[in-house]
Amino acid sequence: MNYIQLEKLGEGTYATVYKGRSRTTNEIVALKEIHLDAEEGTPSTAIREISLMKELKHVNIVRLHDVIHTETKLVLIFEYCEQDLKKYMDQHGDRGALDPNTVRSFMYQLLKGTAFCHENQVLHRDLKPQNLLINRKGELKLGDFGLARAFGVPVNTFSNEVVTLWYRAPDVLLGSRTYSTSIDVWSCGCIFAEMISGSPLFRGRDNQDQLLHIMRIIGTPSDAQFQKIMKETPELQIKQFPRYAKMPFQQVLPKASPQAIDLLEKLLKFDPAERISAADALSHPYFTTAVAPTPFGLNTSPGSMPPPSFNFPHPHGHQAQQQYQQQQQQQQQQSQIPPHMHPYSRPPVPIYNQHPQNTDPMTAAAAQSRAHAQAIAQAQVQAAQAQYGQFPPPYSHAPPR
Amino acid sequence: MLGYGLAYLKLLVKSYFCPAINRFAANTATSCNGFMESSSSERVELPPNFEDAPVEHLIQLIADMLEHLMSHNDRIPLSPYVVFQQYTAPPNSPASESLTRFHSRSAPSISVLDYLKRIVRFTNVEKSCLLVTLYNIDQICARTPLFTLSSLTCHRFIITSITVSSKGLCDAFCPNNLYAKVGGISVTELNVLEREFLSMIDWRLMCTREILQEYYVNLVRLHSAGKFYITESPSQSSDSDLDMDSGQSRPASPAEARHRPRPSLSEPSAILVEPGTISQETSQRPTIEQNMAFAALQQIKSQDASHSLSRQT
Repeated sequence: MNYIQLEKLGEGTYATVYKGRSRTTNEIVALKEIHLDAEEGTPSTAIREISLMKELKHVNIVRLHDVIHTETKLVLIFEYCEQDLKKYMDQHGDRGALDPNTVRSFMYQLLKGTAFCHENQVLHRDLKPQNLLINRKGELKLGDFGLARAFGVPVNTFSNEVVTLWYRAPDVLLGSRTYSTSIDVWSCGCIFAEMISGSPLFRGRDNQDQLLHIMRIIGTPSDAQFQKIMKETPELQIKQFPRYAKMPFQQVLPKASPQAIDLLEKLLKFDPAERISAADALSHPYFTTAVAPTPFGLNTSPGSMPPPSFNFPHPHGHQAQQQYQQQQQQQQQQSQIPPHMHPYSRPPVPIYNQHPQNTDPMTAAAAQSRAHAQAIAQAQVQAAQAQYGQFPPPYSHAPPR
Repeated sequence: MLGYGLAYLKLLVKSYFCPAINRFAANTATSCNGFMESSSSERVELPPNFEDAPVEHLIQLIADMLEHLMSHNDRIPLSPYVVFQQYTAPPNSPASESLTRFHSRSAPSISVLDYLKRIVRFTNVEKSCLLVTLYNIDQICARTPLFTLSSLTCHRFIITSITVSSKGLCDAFCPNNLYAKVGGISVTELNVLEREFLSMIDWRLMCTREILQEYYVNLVRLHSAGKFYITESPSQSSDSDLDMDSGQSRPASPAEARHRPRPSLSEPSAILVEPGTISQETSQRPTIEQNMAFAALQQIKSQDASHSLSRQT
């Protein structure tokens, strides 16, 4: 192999990741080693991850350098990133919460990478802090495309066992199989809130509980809203939900600036049709207006990574800006945001307890969703079996040369 | 075996790098058109969008195309290959290079159509995965000029392509041992073929609806018996039935109704038959010689297009 395997970085359900060094260039890389199962052949997660990442070349998406495919294992060679966003928040945040400049920079990069995926007709379907990698330069990169899929080619089966529970959009929780890019946008919103507060915004135990957690904060949609959603997505299973009033996000995230709150509102719309697109979110005033009280490039907490260096968007054309401000004003009038809220005031009491480290139900959920695709197929196969009796009828090919 | 690429499908492709191929393609396409018109008695109407086409008709179209391609590729003798090889292969490269893991010792007895029927019946394969097989053949032939789809390679290629594209593009798919059983090969062999396939196509499995729709329209046009035709919407004029944009397109997710075709992926995005050219060309069936010349053309297209032109005449 052209790479020297160094220490182990982590172990997942289907792969082990090592640090590695290229023999030719000395470059440090990440080696994702996937063991091949005799029955399964090449795992579908690997097929997706490789085929999608070969096409997605962007600063905010982990670059796939190379693939080594042998009879027993498959090694994916990725660009090396020091840590994931989850670990970054634990190490550099104030009880997990990142400073406003870092949040803004990471959020911008997250949306940039997501918008690029969507532009190229790819849904990530598993955006969460653990899957966002941060390198030494402070660049944020989308990783783990094992659940991702292309939506450019029409295919009837869309699994709704996608996205780790806490970051799963309400339409998916309600059973949507016609979801699209807006599910990634929802995850981006959840991550945004988590970077601001330091803990996940909606922490449900299961699908139903997750929906309740969401509604307790963003409010239960009205009957009219539900009807509209049902009309657009007839396969949804909408039961009776308790009527929760919308909680002002300032109350949930006292540290957030009004513009951050405004963007968050637009990302976390219950109705997928109302959710802002990743591309549009990038030109939100939260990113385009200069607010940073401290110069960009300085970080006060010692030992923390420098904030990412990247080209912040130039404020858009004056007209677009005005339009946005108008929209924003309307929004503010509608949601009656108290204008006196100080953007960076500390919360009087933490809303959430510390992040549970070991009782994380998510790993199981992710594994479950991966197994789900095959389960569906097997169910279909069984149905076919019942229909056709002997299944499949024996047939043997001419032997290979 | 001769490195004759996916002749018929290639012929449909508007070559983005060699106009000569395009011209030749138009020639052959016309000959098929002429052939098609001969039996127009019991024609079957097909919907404008491939997603709506009945799967049994879709596999008939695909099988017809592949059978034609195979019969052409099977007829090509080995000797001319050596001549053409001078253009591409490095000196002293073995003539058996086109022999791949996809080759059977003898041609399987099952017809391509029956094979596809079997796959549809037992694996719930998506229409997109069936059509994408043709795209994959084109991609692999473009990357690996020495690979030939013949009666010895077709079946193994089909089952491998269906397996890989179902796993890569769909959320519901079957385990490999089922695809192997349906395909009549052992799971160990399928796993090997899968690996070979992925390496030959360089893992580039992404495609677009627009590309598949083009393949569908062209399959209908070139069907040997001329049995099928696509319903035209009233707004379309009779000779612009290749205008894909006017038909309503149905993307993967209804929520994503008007997504523009992706800009940066898959460089050969212009798989189009030139609308005007087909009907204008004279209808003459290509001779084997022409076909061989075309094969040569394909092999040397990137280096020297002028040679190929002289060979055509």
